[in-house]
Amino acid sequence: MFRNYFKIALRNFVKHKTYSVINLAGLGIAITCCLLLGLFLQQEWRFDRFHSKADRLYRPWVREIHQNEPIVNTITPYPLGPAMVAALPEVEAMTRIVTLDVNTQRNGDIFNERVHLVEPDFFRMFDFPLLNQPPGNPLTQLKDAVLTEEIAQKYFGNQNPIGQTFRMQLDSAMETYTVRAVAKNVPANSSIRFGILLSFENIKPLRSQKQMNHWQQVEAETYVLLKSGVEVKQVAAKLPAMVKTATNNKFKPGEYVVNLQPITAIHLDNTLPQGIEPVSNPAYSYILATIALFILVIACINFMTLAIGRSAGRAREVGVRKVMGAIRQQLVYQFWGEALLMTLAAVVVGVLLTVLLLPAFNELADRQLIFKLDSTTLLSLFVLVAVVGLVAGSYPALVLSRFQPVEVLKGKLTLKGDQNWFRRTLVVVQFGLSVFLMVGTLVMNRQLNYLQAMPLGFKTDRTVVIPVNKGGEEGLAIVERYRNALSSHKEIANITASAFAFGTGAWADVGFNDKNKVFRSFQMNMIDPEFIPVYNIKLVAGRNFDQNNTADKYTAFIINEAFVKAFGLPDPLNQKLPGDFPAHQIIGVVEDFHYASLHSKVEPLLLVQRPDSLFAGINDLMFQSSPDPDISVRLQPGAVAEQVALLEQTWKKVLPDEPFSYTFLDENIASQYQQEKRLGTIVTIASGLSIFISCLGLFGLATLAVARRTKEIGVRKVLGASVGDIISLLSKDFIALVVVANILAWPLAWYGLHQWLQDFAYRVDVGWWLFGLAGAATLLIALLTVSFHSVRAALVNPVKSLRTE
Amino acid sequence: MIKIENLEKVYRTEEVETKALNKVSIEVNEGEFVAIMGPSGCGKSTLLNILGLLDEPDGGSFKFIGTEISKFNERNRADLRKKNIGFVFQSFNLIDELTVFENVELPLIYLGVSAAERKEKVEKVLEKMQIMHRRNHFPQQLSGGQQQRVAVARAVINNPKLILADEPTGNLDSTNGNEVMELLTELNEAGTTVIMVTHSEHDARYAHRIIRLLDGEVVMENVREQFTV
Repeated sequence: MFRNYFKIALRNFVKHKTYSVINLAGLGIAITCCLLLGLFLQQEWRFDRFHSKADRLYRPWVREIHQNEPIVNTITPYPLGPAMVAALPEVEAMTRIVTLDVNTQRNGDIFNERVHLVEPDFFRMFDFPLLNQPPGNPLTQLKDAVLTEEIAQKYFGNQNPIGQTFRMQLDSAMETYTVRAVAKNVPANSSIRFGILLSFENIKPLRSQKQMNHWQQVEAETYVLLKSGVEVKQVAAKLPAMVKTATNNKFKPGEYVVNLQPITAIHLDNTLPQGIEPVSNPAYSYILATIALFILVIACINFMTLAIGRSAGRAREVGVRKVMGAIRQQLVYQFWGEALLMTLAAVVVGVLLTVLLLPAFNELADRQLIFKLDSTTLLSLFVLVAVVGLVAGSYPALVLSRFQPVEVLKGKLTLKGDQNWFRRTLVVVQFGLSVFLMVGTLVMNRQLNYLQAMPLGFKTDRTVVIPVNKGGEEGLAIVERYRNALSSHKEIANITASAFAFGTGAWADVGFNDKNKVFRSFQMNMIDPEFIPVYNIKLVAGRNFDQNNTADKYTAFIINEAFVKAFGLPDPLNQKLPGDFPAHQIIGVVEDFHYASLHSKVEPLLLVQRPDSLFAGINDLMFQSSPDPDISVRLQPGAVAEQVALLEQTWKKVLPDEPFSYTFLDENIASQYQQEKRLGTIVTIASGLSIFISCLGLFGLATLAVARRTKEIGVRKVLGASVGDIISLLSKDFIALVVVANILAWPLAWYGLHQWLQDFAYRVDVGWWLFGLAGAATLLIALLTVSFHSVRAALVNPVKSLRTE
Repeated sequence: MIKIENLEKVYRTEEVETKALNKVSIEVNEGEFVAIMGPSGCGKSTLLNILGLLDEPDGGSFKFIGTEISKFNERNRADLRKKNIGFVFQSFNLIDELTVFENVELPLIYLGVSAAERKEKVEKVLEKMQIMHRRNHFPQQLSGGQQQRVAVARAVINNPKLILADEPTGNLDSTNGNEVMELLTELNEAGTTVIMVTHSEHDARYAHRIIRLLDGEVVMENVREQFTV
């Protein structure tokens, strides 16, 4: 019997090529989208779950109330970890992780690397396997190092790296480190990402005892492993007492709260400030999951509407089979079997397309996703076939099988009212989803264009940013040597240096108590006198720093308009900062410029050359990125490649021991919107595909409608209908459905996009004309799709149409 | 074999109620060849559908081989149908996607007959119907007469006790029509009961008895000897 069903399915597939291709293409494309987005989401949603003890690993974070202002940090103070181990028997293991950006040297090559300093428990808490080595802590000596395969390959090529040495400068001098182990490369779905591991002991010479014991200075991520069977609530309940004891009652209750975040929650929790590694916006995962689902639903709807359209043709078969003794159940199996078979074929197409398109998708999503047909994937595919097949095949299976032979064997079966409504509802849902995605595409792209075109308040063109990986006086000396070396080259327009560049991370966050003892904060950057002219930042009052004025260097501040407004300084040039700061002068006010991304509003900003006197009056200082200087070089018009080569040659000449790297300012700024840009591209492609699949369905329905109404068309033409009348007759039903779909989708799309835009401090209006545009576009596309058939039908000689009856 | 008494069938739409069969009583004995005649809309096909267990009566009694079946559910009717009744339609009703062999095989599949046995039976009946050479053709590759022969082959494949034929020659020319009528006669002579709905007086002459319907009622029953052409 199943052979018979299979045969019928296969022959139907071949005989009705248009429908088969529409179904196969639609479902195949939808399944490809689902697989690609599914791979992406699987990585996002399964972050850090590869650790065998993931369910017991937690990252403590701190919420401190300072002068009524909450300060939340996932980067924690040094004494936290040891205090937890001492006070909480539930803690089985603990490691602090601190990162340092350092220069390394191997065979004369200089690299700039980020190293991770970890404690011995690191290796038994996490699953970062060491190659050819028993588990355990390989970092027993201060100068031991663990490299990942990638770094080992970079430093030692194909040589065995174990026992080899390289040089590294953590403090003032280069010292020799020995490779004790090689770790497998960190998987892409890990929140802890390292290339070089060193013993935590290396931090101690670099920090004072006071810093190592300070509860309000943060520098390390802390991770704890709870003992098996321990409830996290149990541990959390003990944390206030632990803080109280460990800090000798320094804080009032509720003023310093330690919390525990499961390691598996880190990646998609953007409510907490990020730790060492960036996190993802969970909204984007949900948006992508929704898109995948939308496309799948659209393809399933095609399957169903086409099945309804074809039901007249299949009805006779149902009738004959029933007369021959088939019972309904057998027909249900047959039709569901056909749907499952079609879905299976579509999955094969989808898998092939996925393999083909994965490299392009990886580039688009900036991932290294791998598609493996392992047991999990096969199981997911099986579930996909089952769900899609059962849903898509539900109409023929449940409705067609109910047809009574007496009704269907005599004359032609016409769709009953409720079936017609059902089909119309499906088409409306399908186009509604497409309109939703299309409006989404339009608004997202408009927002991105808006961000990219928005005046930032400073010049970004032809500017190269070169990081100096040395801080303090040493860093400033490097800047000066480089500045002098470049001064004679006419290809270079200007040079400036600042502690923080644009687009490469947050500027410093400074907190202080104002005159009323209220905790206030502002942003800060350390710049040189060239900064404002090089970046073309507009001074609205006062003057720039003067190179020749020594007082300017330490005690002069320049603030932005947001600062003036936030701190209520009506005459800023003759006023002081509203706190307990040493003698200083506000010498200038600059127009607000967007030094941070356009996700946030321009915050109060203070610019200073040397921060010493400023720091004397502050209570809190937070660097979210390295304050080592960044040199900005503006190039003259000309060949950029040659100019960059000149920058590198000059660097290597004057600073042979320092690694040279550079970025372009405009690219750095654009990279702040990478996530949105990627999402925008994915949504654009997805909405294009969804409309394509919807139109495939519409095309199929139009084919069937024309076939069903051939006689009617003939009669109407005989009675005098024009070609235009016939086209409008055949098109108006579909057009009405598309119009209804638009009207239903608009408010939903408006709401969704309104929510998305709340993420941006500067955003476009969701203009109503965009909805009109999406509506007009879907109508036009639908009309063109339907007209392919309606025009042909309208041009046929009526005698021929009538003869087909 | 068949005994119906006061059989009623009413079709209702929102505004109109049509009595398709009005207290019809008929008896058909085993081995008979009966023709049902009457003008369009007289209820012939409705009667045939009820006799074929494809439709349910609204009233009256229907005994099939001694069993009252007017209250049988669909499953029981399907079971009874596939074991006892073969159908021949005016429009052949072959499944376009199946070959001649597969179409004829279909009732045996639903009866759960093994593949080997099916092959043997189908080949035998195709030989008998002289369309063995067309076994791998699809219906649309055959002439009308050939298609109807396939339909007859399908109807007799499981040796039914009763064959119901609904205008079996309606779509055929006279030569092919006569061939089909010969086939039905042969089957009847071999012991199968045949009930045929027809418009054609010529075809009706092959039957032993004619039942004439008008407006849902039996108006006349006559045996072959009393036929008037």
